[in-house]
Amino acid sequence: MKVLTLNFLTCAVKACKSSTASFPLHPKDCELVSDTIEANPALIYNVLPRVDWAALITTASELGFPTLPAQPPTKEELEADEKMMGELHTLLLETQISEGMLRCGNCGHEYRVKEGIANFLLPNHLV
Amino acid sequence: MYSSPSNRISRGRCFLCDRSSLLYNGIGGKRANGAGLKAFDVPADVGVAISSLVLSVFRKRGSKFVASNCNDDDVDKPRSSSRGKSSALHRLANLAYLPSQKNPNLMPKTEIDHMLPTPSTSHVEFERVYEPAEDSYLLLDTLSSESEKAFLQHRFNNASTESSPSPLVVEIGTGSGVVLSFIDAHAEIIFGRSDVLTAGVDVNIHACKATIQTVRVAETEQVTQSKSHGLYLGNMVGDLATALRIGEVDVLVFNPPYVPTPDLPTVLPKETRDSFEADSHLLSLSYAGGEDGMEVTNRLLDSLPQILGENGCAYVLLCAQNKPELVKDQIWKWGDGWTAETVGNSGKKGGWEKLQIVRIWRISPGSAI
Repeated sequence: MKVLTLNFLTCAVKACKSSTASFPLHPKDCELVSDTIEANPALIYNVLPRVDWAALITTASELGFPTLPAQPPTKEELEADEKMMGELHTLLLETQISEGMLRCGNCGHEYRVKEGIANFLLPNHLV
Repeated sequence: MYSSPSNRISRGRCFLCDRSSLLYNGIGGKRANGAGLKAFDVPADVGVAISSLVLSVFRKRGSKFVASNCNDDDVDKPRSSSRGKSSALHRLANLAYLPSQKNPNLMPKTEIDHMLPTPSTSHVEFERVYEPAEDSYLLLDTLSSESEKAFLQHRFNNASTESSPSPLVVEIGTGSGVVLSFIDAHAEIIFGRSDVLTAGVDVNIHACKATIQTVRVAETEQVTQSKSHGLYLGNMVGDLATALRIGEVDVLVFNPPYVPTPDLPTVLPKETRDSFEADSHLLSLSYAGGEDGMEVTNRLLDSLPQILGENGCAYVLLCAQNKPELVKDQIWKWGDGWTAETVGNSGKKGGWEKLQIVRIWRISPGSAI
């Protein structure tokens, strides 16, 4: 699963949905793999407006990526900043989580990621 | 001439062993589970007899057979199959036959030029992952129809504006991945833009693995032809939309377990040493729908207003037994601009089930659609 996926997921426990702490899920002991994808600035420009930037900052720092600026870069800034563009390209498009856990910051439940697939099925006592 | 829809038992030939055998030619789609054989339009005792026959063939050989197209309606349809969620026989043993592969009249008509190619799923283990059938193909045909392309492009292709957020498409219950990979591979034609994010959820881990592979094959095929594709994020194991963040999905696609059954299978994998039993349980999750075949679908529908974004819409497949008119009435009653219309239809007359795709969306204030 691409790192970007974490921007669209929360804890599956119903009671956690209303808690801001359930998003984003926190990667723990994660192994990352990287696909090589051709540069695609147009895609980055259109993906950025639908990313929750604060959550992406958290995810990037927890995965050990270079620190992102406090505000999402504008299209003009990205056009002028090749390095930033490259980092976002790697983070958003190329990087996948292959193994590890995703922990809910609210209830603490950990979802296993195996072979790039996160498992969000809950044990009976949490449904 | 093909067998009539009501004449679904005939003699056929297995293409591997070339042995003539009695077989069941279902029409396609999900039909009934093992416990619900009475739902077939063949007598139950005949059904059981065929079931055990087919099963024994499967057990012994573990082989896969080729699909047949055995009724007139199917032959007129560019994409058709007699495999599917339709019958316990097909489900359990994943068998379908060609009455005679050599007869060109029994082969599907060649794909019409303007049709988008169906992604390959030949790598998928159909012993435990739902095999694409008529219901899957109806989704492909509907999503690539002129009317739906127009709807989706009007809603999500704002290329003229400076910044146009990429739409997020999520399919619940991806199975083999044939539908999601189709959307991903043909995003540019369907949405008028290739920067479409796609993701899948399935309760069955094997379906998730199959989908990942199917998308990979479809994307590679696009690249080989110097064509674009979307950005596939991945597949998650999950119970419907429970792991999705509120208000993020732009297009949700759901081909539910829609067959009416006395019970619902448990969502968690069955703990059993019998791999056949475990596989059967996984397959049952793809078709067993409980009361009116609507118990799972209703749970998903209830979550739609939360899951979908402001411009979000959903495509949900229903069969006649799901009482689609009633389902649409219920959605209209949500108020707040929520609307539901049938936008695709299998058009079958003689079939046991008639399938349709219902589009569910919110008419935004001041907008025509």
